[in-house]
Amino acid sequence: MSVAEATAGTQAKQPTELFGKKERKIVKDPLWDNNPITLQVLGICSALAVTTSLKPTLVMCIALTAVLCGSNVIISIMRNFIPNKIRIIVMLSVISSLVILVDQLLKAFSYGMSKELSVFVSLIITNCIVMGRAEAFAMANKPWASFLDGLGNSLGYSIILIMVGFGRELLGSGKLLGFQVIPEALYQMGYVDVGLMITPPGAFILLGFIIWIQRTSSKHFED
Amino acid sequence: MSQAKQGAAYTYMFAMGLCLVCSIGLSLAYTYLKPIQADNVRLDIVQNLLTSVGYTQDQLTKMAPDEVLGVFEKDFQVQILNKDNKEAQRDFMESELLGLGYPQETLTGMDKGSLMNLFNTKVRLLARKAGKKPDDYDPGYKALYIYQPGGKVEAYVIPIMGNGLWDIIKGYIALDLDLNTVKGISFYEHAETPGLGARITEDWFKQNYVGKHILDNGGDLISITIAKGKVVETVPDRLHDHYVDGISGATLTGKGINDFLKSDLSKYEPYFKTLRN
Repeated sequence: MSVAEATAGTQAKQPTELFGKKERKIVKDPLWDNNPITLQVLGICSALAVTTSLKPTLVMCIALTAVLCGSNVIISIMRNFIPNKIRIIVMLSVISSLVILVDQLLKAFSYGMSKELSVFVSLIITNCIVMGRAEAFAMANKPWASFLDGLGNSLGYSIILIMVGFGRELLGSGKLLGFQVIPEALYQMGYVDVGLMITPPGAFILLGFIIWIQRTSSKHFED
Repeated sequence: MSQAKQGAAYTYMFAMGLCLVCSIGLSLAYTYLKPIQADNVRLDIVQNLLTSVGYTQDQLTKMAPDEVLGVFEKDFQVQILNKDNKEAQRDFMESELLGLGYPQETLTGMDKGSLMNLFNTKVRLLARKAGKKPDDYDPGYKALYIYQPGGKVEAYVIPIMGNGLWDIIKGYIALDLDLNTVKGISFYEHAETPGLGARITEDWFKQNYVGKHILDNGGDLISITIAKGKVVETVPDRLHDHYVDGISGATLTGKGINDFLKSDLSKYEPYFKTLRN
């Protein structure tokens, strides 16, 4: 949240630059140092649910990126017109419309994937990252900055999801993107896939390790 | 935060405007995408029908959508059977539905299977509206797909459907000419847990069924049951022919499949008896 507050204050005075230092910071910060999943611990539900293998993970990341960037830009354009009393429900309407749209597009152009992700696409609505960024950033910043913030946060989300999906598919089924990676010879020597990785606890364990590594590397400690 | 007026009237207007924009946008998207989505669903169902008679996933992904539908048109004959296992006539279903106010052109455009589904649901719905028990008025029409590539019958496919753990599972089971040996099974609609129950769509699980028998030695229907664990470890030898390996962590999904597979097979069994002789 600190980024949002910092940029919100200085917004009016600074000239708008397309890729100035500040803009780069908006995108780069949530990638690692202020990652929405590992640091703010938002969006955990989908991080557990869709990461059993890498392919649905990638589609989920693309879907979330589309929704988050779209909602941030739309909310930001409307920010001066949204009545303060109903701003949360306004955000919710915008976000859910976008999610339904993404779901319909998936059903039309990537039917197999939409079947595999099933209800988790619609559940993007409840992903706290989307609502969080709308309230914390888009309500106070210009559309371009909000777009970059959406992009940064969804990429930050994607990085963690892909790591978890990579680990779970590799350890859980010995495959990556559906291709067998662990050689047959290893199985004959007695290697067994870790069934636990396919189940939600497996995702928790992996996510725990990632959060540990991430917080150690960016020297973040809870008070 | 805003220069705009924040009175109650403004708030109401804003909310109404937003609702209008969102709903118009979504209805437009829905209307334009619906035909594409319907095609996808239809293609998916036909692909599953083909999987049950032995087409592999690789073969299907290489085929264009038109090709897949072409195979269905050319190699499958659809038979609709009524409760007494006599072939139901298309004309009868059409005229009944016409009486319910369906336009002729809609009905002519439908294939036999969809026509039957519509007929079954409509009759049940009307019975319920009239305060009768829908089950008593279920026309009980059922579809039988006869696979005959090159004019020679090779398999009989029946649709199977019932409750899994979370939602309805739909699929097909194909039987060889003896109407006893399983040629293949496939599932195209389900909402089982990914990584657990959803593994019913994996090849190893479906391959389990191939070559198993639905009749016991006396010729009575015994169906095929999913074992808890590996068949060779948990099931007595004499029953190996009627059991398949289970999925650990998906006991309830398996139980659902066992139940509806048996009940669906038993609906066709009287007719299959006459075919076997």
